[in-house]
Amino acid sequence: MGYYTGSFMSPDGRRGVSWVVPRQFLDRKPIMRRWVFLCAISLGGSAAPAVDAADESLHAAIDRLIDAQAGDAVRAPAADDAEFLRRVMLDLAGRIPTHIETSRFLDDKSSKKRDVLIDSLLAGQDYPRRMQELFHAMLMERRGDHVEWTKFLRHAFAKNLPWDQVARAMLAPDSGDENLRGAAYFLTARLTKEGAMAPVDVPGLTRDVGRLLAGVDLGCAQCHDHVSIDDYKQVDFQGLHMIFENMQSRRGDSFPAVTERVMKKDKEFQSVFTMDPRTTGLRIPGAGDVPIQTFPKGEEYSVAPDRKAKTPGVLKFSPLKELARGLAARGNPLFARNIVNRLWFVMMGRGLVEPLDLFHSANPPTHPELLERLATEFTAHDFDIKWLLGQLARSECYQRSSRLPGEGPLPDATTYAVANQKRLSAEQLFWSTMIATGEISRMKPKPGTGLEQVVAQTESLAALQKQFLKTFANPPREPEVDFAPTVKGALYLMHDEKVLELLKPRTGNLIERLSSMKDTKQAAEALFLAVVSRRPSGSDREAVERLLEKKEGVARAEAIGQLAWALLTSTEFCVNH
Amino acid sequence: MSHCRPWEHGWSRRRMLGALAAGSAAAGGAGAAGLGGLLQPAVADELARNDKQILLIWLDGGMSQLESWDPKPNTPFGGPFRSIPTTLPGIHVSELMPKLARQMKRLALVRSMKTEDANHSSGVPKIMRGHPRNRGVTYPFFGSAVAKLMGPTASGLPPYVWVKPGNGGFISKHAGFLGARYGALALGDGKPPANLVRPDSITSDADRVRQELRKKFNRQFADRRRGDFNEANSYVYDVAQTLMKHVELFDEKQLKETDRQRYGTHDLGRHALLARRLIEAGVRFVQVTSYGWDTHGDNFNSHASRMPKVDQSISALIEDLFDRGLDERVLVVVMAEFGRTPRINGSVGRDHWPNAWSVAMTGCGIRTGTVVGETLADGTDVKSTPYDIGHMFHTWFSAVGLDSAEAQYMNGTQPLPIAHDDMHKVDELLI
Amino acid sequence: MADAPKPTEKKPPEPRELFKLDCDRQLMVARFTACGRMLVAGGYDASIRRWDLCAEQTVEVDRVEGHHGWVSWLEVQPGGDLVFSADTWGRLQATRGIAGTPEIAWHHEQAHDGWIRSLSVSDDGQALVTAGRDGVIRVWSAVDGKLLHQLKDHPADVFAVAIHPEKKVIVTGDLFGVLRRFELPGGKCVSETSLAGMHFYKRIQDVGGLRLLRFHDRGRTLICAGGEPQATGRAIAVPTIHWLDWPGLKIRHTARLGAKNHGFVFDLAWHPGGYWAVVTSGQPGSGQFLLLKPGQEKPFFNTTKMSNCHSLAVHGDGRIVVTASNRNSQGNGAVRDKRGNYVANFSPLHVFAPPGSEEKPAAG
Repeated sequence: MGYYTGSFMSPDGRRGVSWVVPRQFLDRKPIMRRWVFLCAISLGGSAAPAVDAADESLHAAIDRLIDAQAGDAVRAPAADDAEFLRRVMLDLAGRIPTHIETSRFLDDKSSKKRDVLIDSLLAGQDYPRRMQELFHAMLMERRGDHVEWTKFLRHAFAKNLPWDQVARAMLAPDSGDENLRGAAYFLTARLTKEGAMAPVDVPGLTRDVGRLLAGVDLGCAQCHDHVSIDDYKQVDFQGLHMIFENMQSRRGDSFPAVTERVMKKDKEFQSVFTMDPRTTGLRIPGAGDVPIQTFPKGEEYSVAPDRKAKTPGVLKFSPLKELARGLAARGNPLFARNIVNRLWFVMMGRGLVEPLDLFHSANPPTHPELLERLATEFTAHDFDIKWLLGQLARSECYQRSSRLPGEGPLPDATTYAVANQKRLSAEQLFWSTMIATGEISRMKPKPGTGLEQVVAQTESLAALQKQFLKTFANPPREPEVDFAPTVKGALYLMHDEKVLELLKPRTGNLIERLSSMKDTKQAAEALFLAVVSRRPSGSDREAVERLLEKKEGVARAEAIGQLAWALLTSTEFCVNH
Repeated sequence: MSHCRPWEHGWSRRRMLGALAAGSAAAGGAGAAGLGGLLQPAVADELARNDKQILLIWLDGGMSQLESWDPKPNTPFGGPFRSIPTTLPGIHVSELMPKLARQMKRLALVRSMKTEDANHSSGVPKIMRGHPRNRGVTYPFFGSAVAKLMGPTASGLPPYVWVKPGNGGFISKHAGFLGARYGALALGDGKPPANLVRPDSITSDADRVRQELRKKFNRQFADRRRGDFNEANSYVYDVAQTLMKHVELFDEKQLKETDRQRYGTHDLGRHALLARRLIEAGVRFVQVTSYGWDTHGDNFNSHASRMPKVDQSISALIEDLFDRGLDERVLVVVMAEFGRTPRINGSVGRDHWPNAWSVAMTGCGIRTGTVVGETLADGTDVKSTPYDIGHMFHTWFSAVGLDSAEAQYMNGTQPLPIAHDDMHKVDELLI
Repeated sequence: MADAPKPTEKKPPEPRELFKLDCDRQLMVARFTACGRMLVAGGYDASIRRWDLCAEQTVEVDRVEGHHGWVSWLEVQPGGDLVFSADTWGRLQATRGIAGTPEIAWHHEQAHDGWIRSLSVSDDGQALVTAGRDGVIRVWSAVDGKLLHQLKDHPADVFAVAIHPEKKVIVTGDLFGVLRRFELPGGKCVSETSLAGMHFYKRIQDVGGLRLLRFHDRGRTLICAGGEPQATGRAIAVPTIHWLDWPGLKIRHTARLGAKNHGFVFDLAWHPGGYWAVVTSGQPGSGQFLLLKPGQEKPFFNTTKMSNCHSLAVHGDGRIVVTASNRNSQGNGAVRDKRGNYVANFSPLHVFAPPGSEEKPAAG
């Protein structure tokens, strides 16, 4: 015996109401179940007073809507400059600031410095790398990598291509465009065998397209309508699945590419429950049916394939192009909602809909109006990711402290009254470690050299990078959503010789720099600025002073190494707070 | 709302169970979700006092029931081997397991297993998950389920440790919808996790200093912040340090030669001996896997070589658990994803057979000296009431003190039974 | 040399299948009686099966009962009337008059503790030697079954045994691919030779590759046959035969008769036509029946059309019988026939005319 539960805001927007109904009751009455869910959603829709959207920037709208729903929850104050700087650098540059950047920002007296920083980060050289790393982990879920894929993502974010264009490049890859063709890896990486016994998981690809680009996980609706989610029908899965069944990886190219066959007829399928035979044409999440267009034999191509020249030809009716057109479209509500929810999650540490890939009517957003506003404006701004991230970063909601002074319980994460902590990706952790320990500056790179070049050119660092990714990334096919530290990771940072070497004095690195400082106060300040991107508190200083007292030479360097290790392994360093 | 209705208590009690496990169970690789604050102290105490442990011996690929627990000598499908009497009057097992035959009074046997899947790739996970009714979610493997539902014991050791040949690591996919943190800490070939041993460059004093500093910084950071991230991050360091304290578990030099000989120096013997020590050290759920049981060819020579090793190591294990009184709180299960066909194929092998096979178990409230169910005289089907793996999950959960008819997981807002809701525990197997 | 014209080689003559006998159960071993009148076989039904070859049409006649488990080995007495059979429960039996009215001459219910894996009769027909899973080797008087010698404490499961024509030496091959030489009457082990490759260990399983020992050429050659195993669980190996000089035990010649995914040489016999007849096991469909000239590495005839082969015997008239396994003999789950019966496998016996013979195929 169990219960269904849900919650919605009361019409005045001041109070949350939760509801619980015995499972048995609703399971016997599917109509009742649907009705209850729909009621809950419709009631959830009006949480805050309406404001004329034209006069209000998106970040202001975010704060208004969040604020309205947070009600009486105690708000944390705005993050101080150090907290904000570290957070926004990790989010938009994928790394912590250097101690120089931190000092400069903290000492900057300009009242506009936060907005200036956001703009400069969005325009900076770290941004395309950070976005490529972020979207790589999000879209490939650690299945592997390909130089062409990296090139595609880098290009997309360097040029700030609209998200619909990026998505279309992945769904209907154009092997003629050198910058975009690598996008096909999104499909081809999912068409490889996982082992001798495991067949190519085409249903897995179907599922991932729904999950990652439309926020709907139709995986369980492959063989029958979803058993617990009314909105997910078998026909939705099958109508999407037939597109990928009709497609395969193209061999013989140095870059990933796919080909399609001529699609001739509707797909036949039946539910394993009812055994009812049915058929469907293409079905695109959020866009519905696309009838299959057939042509007389010999007339299916507008450009015929040429076996000798190995050109695949151009189909008059390309299911992949139909999918790209239908899914990555202005009119498709799922498409915009999915990506704004995912970017909201990246910036705010929680999805408006969670799980990120389970949008359905019985799983309403925590802030329905906000989600709609984000989706609408994002679409109106031509799916401009950079613009959206800038708006999110400018909101008070984003710029709140993750610490709540005073007493009493902390408000719920969905109120955003206190900033949520966020997982650091393996990449963010690696670059931040490099910067904190002074490994990058130790290599004395020429001005303008990116972090990546420095690491790529240094064999030991490249090896370390590989090991970091191996240690801190999730296993393949597991979304990196939750904070999931591992014993493996702890032991690695505790005992790995190469990690420990970072904390020994070497010309130009952090430990050497600090060891040369005679003044303990100065050393404490430099240490905290370098590793945790803030100035030490009184008790931090005391801890440093106590440990370094009367220590000189090797002993002092060792003690500084211990302090740096403790900070590097501290939760403060390991999360984005 | 100021007034609770009665059914909300039911709801919240289940939530508590989930919350507790989330707060304390975070498995070897991972951290806690930190909802410990929701926990009622009484519930916490009750579960904290639960010192039950589980040891699963998994014979991957499918051991033949006809060459082990359910021989049918001198029948068309009986194979070449004889059967021998056991310490249970009237019960015979294959001649390939003489030592276990002597331990039979200490075991319970189900000879009427009838499961669904004859494929390894789907059969293994189905059995490991207790094959619950399809609700569109990926259920956890047995070990992950126990890690979630019971958490680590007071030892603080990771709750789900998997001793297996080959590579180790953290196997999060076992956790299913519970989330990566309830996966298995796999000890490849019984070897410790990478980097377990502190390098000489760090003295124990220096280590203590840096760990104290880390804790101090963490305390300061966690003050007036949401605690879950820090709890999770601190937890993995605690587990790492707990494991380090047990580093002797991985030092084969410390083993008694008599033990090594009793268990056998082969993989299964070494791994079963390590399993006993992991159980003694307080790991909640230990799984030992032996691979290569897929005897499609030369089944009888294969079993002639393999079974004596199973006989040796499992009988030694059972002997030790009973001698030490651990049988009172340690559930031992010996099984595979299915048995093997009565039909002997053209390669003198036996193929996959979920239709009528056997599972053995003991300890922790299992009624020993019991044989449940029987197969037809020629072994080609179950003669008595057939039992599916769901029945076993109910039985095993019950043995370790979990009410599988009541307890539920929460997957977001979706409550999920922990074992197949159409099945029940097998009372005959329980004291 | 790729461009050189290929010499037009005349295809060597091949054996022709004359007819097929059906047996409703699976067989491990088949032999012709010394008189040539009867084909006798042993297998999974604990009996000795007999086919009368002199009847107008070959027919199966009464079984000889008395065994348990599987009849694992069977040999006929050279120049005599006895058939010796052994089973997996340890019974050893001598049957007289097998071509007419069979009668058990003598038997030992527990000649061994369990599976007798190998049985070998001396060339003079007076002694036989048995070996098995119990690691004991016993030499028996063929006439009355009296135990002549026993060699205990063999260190491992013995898969193969043979007695030298002079009856002063016994050789054994064990699970680990070790070849041992014992002297009679003392039973002292005088040499140990490890045949590299004929053993494989993985995942707690030893796979023995040395499955058959045979003296040939009046005791001047020792044949070690079986396979070089490659995996556990599926019994796949490179079928291999070594010819060793006796008594020097130097490998004179080796034939590897298949790929890594084949099986083991399960039986072989010298054909008076001047070649070896060999059967190998394998995955169903890859078991071979092949004919191989001495000193050659490749057979001049090879067929896999019998799915899988377990034993062969050569008749005095040159005909060869191969016990095979039925097709579609593999399958997971409850494979049932059209009537819903759970089906067992069986062993068809294929009778071949030797290559070059003029005999026309006839019905079985």
